Amino acid sequence: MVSDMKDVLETCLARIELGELTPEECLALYPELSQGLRPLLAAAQKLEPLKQLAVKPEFRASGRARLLEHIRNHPRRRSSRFGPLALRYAASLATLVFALATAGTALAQQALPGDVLYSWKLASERVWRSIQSNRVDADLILADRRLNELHAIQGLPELEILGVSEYADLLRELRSDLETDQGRVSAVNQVLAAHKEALSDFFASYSFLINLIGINALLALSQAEALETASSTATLFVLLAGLPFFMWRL
Amino acid sequence: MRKSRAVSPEDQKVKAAARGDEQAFADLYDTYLDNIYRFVYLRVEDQQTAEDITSNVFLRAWEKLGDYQFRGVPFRAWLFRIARNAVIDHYRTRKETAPLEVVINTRDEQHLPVSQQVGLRIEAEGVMQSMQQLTEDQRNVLTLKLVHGLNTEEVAKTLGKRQGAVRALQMRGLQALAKIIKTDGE
Repeated sequence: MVSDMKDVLETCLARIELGELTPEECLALYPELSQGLRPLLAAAQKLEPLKQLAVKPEFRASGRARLLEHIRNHPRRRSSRFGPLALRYAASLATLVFALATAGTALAQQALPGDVLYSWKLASERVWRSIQSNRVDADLILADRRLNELHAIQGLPELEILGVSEYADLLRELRSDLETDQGRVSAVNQVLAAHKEALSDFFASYSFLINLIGINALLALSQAEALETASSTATLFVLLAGLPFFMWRL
Repeated sequence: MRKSRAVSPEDQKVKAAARGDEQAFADLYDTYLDNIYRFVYLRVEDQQTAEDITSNVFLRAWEKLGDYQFRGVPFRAWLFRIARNAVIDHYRTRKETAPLEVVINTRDEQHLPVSQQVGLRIEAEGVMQSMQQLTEDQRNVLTLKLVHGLNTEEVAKTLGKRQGAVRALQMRGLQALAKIIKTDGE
């Protein structure tokens, strides 16, 4: 009944507003509800005078002038070609890409030579190294990482050669950075001495390594050149020896 | 299948204004100034305050028009929504209560005989005082529907309510108003 009354009231008000019916005609259409409906339609009619409310003409003119002045002084930024929904999608996509990049970088830190994510790991290390205030310290941390990788892949010749090559490249970076930071020689000496001992198992297979590791070797110009040669040789060797492996992985 | 809708002249003006067309926005101002002023005035009941808030409503509309989307909410419902929020902000921040001073300017005031002007003002003043006794929601629904002529769907979108709730508020508001008018008349 209440629901009927709501709907009938709605219908009557709409038809009266459109001028299709008078209140009395509407009441006649719904005699069973007319008793409750009559005071409601009468109350609605009482609001009629409010429709005549209007602004003062002087406010209309002055308000319009102020508005136009404001518009000219504050040109509204043009709406984006892309609506808010598109911007939300873009923001979500950017967040997703950022999350994936972060997760991928974190995951890549566990990668070993030969893994799919190993290049990602090296790339993230290059970014990290580029923002370090002390490059030599950064190189030593990365050298430790290469050392750990070599131990993890020990006994897998096709991977060992990749690891040794990366290690050699890092020593070359270290030598370059050490030239501008001679004060870190003793720290480098200690680390490389430990590395020389830790990598002794590799010297039989990769004899050039023994010529690379050690502070004297690193600082000696002639050996530094040898380092580059060895590194180039190792890189070439990696390319030749690693190709079948990469093809197998793909 | 997606339902297409013919673009009305008003939609074209809104789009032009959204692109920064001053004249198009000025036209919209002319169209809706009385409606917005009336809506605000019926809540704040002070002419100067109503004028200030009305001006702010159009400034806000200009600033936000770039974000207005044609999907769902008609322009006038969007404008009334800004007005409603402006009134809410006014009551949140005002420091003193404005006295109830009914100063009514009517559309045809200049052309009406003085006796009719007086009669109209007395009637309007009486209804406004009666409306004060309704709840905020009831007052909003009755004003938007019966004074401004918005349909139920537009009122629902302006107030963020369901259409069924709007119909219920309309009925309860009119019942309460009828009771108040009857009591005052006795």
